[in-house]
Amino acid sequence: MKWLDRLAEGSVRAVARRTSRRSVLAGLGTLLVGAAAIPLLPVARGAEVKAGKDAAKPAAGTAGDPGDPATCEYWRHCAIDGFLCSCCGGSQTTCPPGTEMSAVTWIGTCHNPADGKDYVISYNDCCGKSSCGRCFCNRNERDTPLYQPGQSNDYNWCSGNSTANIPYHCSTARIVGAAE
Amino acid sequence: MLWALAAPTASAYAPRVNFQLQCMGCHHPDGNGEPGRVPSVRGTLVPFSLLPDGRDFVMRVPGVSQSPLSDAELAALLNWMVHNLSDIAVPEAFVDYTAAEVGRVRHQPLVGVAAARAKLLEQVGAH
Repeated sequence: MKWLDRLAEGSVRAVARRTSRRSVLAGLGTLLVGAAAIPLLPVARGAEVKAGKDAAKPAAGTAGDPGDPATCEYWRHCAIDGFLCSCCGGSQTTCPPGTEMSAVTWIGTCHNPADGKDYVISYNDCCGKSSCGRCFCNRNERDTPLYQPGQSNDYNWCSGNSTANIPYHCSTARIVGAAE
Repeated sequence: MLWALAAPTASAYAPRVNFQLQCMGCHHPDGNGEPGRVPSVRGTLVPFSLLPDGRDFVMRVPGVSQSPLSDAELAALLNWMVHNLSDIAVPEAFVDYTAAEVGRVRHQPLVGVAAARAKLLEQVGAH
């Protein structure tokens, strides 16, 4: 096996003669930064959408409906209390597969920064599976205490529905209309 | 009266928007409610509104009596509902709800909402 040792030693020494330590560091650095930047490329993001992460994200991030519905900061979430369906396999307007939208719902108003108008938002819960557990968001604008039930979002609104099953899964944020 | 003046009122929205904000969540966009849980207004609001006891009931149900809306906003909202969410044509005999009327009645607690409603339904022959 001596020949193998000699071969290895020879090739390493050859590399050492041809390259400086700094060039190795620079190369490694480029590789590191490059690898980190790959997920930022449009191709990689497209792959995520295909994988169903945010497959049903219609108007997200458009001029009239700015922001990411999978974040708590999204403007329609100003009065929400629950898990965002956009993070749970649904979207801000649709329920994830296997759940049913509750017709009885909690309603609030949010200010759309795009046009400066207030909108009536319906936070229909999606029911029938246990809690999604992702993207919990609790912003509560205009929420009232439980003893004023009509305007309290602390309720499990799934229980007010005769057709949906009781377990709460996540909440949507649907626009009803302009609040004028 | 002072209490009424000092009471916080919601932003001045059109009755349609106040319906969306204060009622629609449970009564649904068409006022049909949720069978067995939230009563429909479509077949009852108009006949109730033609009877003194019925008007009294409408102005004292929990959603109205506990509403953050002012008496005037509530009166406008009820009138809007009568004209927009009823399966029964509004007869000429219908008298608009007024702020004064709502203010006089809404703060008397209604105990036994379901029983009061059942009695009224018998009176108007609806269901």
